[in-house]
Amino acid sequence: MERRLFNPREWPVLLVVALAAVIWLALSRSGPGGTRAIVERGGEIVLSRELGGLKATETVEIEGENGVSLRVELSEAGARVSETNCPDRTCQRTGLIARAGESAVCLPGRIVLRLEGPKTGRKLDAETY
Amino acid sequence: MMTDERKARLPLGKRAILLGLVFAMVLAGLIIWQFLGREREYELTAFAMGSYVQQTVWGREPEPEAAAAEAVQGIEELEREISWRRDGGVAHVNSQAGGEPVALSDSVGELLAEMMELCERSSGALDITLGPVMGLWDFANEPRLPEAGELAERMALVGWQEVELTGDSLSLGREGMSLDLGAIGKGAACDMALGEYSRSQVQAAVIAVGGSVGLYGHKHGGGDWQVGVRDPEGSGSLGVLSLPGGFVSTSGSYEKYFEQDGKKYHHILDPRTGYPAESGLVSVTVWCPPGMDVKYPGALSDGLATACFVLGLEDGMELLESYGAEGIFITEGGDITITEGLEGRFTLGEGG
Amino acid sequence: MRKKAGFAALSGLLAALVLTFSMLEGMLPPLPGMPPGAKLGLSNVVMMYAAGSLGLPWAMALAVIKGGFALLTRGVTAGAMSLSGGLLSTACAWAVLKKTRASFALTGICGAMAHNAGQVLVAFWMMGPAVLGYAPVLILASLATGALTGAVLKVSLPQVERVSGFLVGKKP
Repeated sequence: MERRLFNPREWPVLLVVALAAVIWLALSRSGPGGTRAIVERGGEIVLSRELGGLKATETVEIEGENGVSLRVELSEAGARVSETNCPDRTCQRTGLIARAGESAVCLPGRIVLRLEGPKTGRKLDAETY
Repeated sequence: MMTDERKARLPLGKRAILLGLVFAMVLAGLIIWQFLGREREYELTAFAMGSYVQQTVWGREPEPEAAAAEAVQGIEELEREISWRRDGGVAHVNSQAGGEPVALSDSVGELLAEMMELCERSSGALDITLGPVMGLWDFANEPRLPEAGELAERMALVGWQEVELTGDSLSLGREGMSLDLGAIGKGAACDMALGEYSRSQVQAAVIAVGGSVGLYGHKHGGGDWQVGVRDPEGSGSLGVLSLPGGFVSTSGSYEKYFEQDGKKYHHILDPRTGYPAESGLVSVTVWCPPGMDVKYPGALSDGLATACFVLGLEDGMELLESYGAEGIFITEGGDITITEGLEGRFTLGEGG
Repeated sequence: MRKKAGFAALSGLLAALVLTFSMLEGMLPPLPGMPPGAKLGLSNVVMMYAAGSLGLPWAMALAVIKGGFALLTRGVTAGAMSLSGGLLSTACAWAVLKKTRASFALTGICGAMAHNAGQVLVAFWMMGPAVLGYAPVLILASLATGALTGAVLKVSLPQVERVSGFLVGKKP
């Protein structure tokens, strides 16, 4: 096996591969790819939706406990509680959550909207508020 | 010649076999190690202490599952003991206000002793006897702006100095006084959970009780724990804290508030005025690093966040320093000040 | 006689090496500055050597053993990913070594990229299209790790050749 460690003639090949990867990376970095929006009611998952492939904003009505209902908006940019009949409105005021590990919580309705990321990506372990 | 060559070769053959044997043994050891020590990540969510409780626990099966369940149970027991809404120690103390001392459990006695010290060191910016005034504002149900007269009446019943704590028995000086540990409950719940983790064989865990966070052990896979800090303006995270462990709590005026006659009234009351604190801050995040010389660092982080919010930037920073805690202060103008110990640990608006 | 026994011994030795390396690597903390999931691929060094010295069928068998081992110790997902990545990278390394005169670095890079491609394919099948976003990161990572494994192979080759030369009975 008479081979060299590096062969200068191979550099263009490597360069093209690297360039292609960088371009691919730049194109795919438009949204929180691989992030899932999870809605829990009383500890049970009632909705789980991949955000990466969403073309348009999707709205879902969620019925919670104690007569609370709320509207969840899902888009490629993230998820938010857009409307609620709960007097607290803490979940709505949380605003848009876009990063895995973030959550919007409605205590009276026992509803949690949270984002879950791919196991491989960078994510939050917890959130303080 | 022939024998020489053979002699020279045989050791090499033996060496190859020996090498193979060593590899086989290492391999066998690794397999055993891997099977015995298979780590598992376990997530458990629950509602306790009036909050959303999230746990992620790492350890060998079946430890994580058991530890997480024990932690929730421990938090529920703690809530029973320290919530004025329930029928445990604190509720009993409140019902006996102005009368006989009430015997508390050892752990609740110690917790209250440490919180009393915080009341004193913060010059009453945190006051665990704010119950009568909190009841008047009623932030939990139907919040309203109290009239000046009734507020003054209730304010006369506030004062941590009139709490008599000897050993585990506690009494309130006058009838009508009441304890409200809402400002430290979530942090104390984190303490409770980490206590359960350390009694089990769990390797690492993170618990969030509402917005209070407890970090136990070394993060699985190495590196620091990543804790998001909520943006007071309401769009997810403001930034990320990279921490080796300890407890984090935040007090923010954005959390709970109501509007009346065009004015916003938030839920963090100044015990000295009875009105929402106006210190120029919108949010304080406090980190109690591992190794602090207190029994309830979680409850301390929670109480410190409230006290610092009430005290304002300068006095708050001073209080944190005296405890050896660190913090992030966000003013109404949007200015962010971090203490020295968090430099290099806080990254603004990163990730996404 | 010696050749046959030696060949068996060499195969066994390489199998043990592959498993040890892949195990050791599983225990290492994530590489600093590298995306999570990107590994050094030390076991790929052995797989490349196996592809070159044992020939395609035996090297593929080795990849199957490695995948089976991952299946036993780390679960179905990891096992399927290891199997698919191992088979693809071994085939790729064999093709590059036997059919081209590419440098060690390029051989390592091709092997690493094929390995990642195999893993992403399985992940795509099991977890959906979200994992594709991770592919370019892995390609960039394999440029670095592949060059490194190629270098390791180059450096360790003389020593390994001595042992295998003795076992199989031919001079390199």
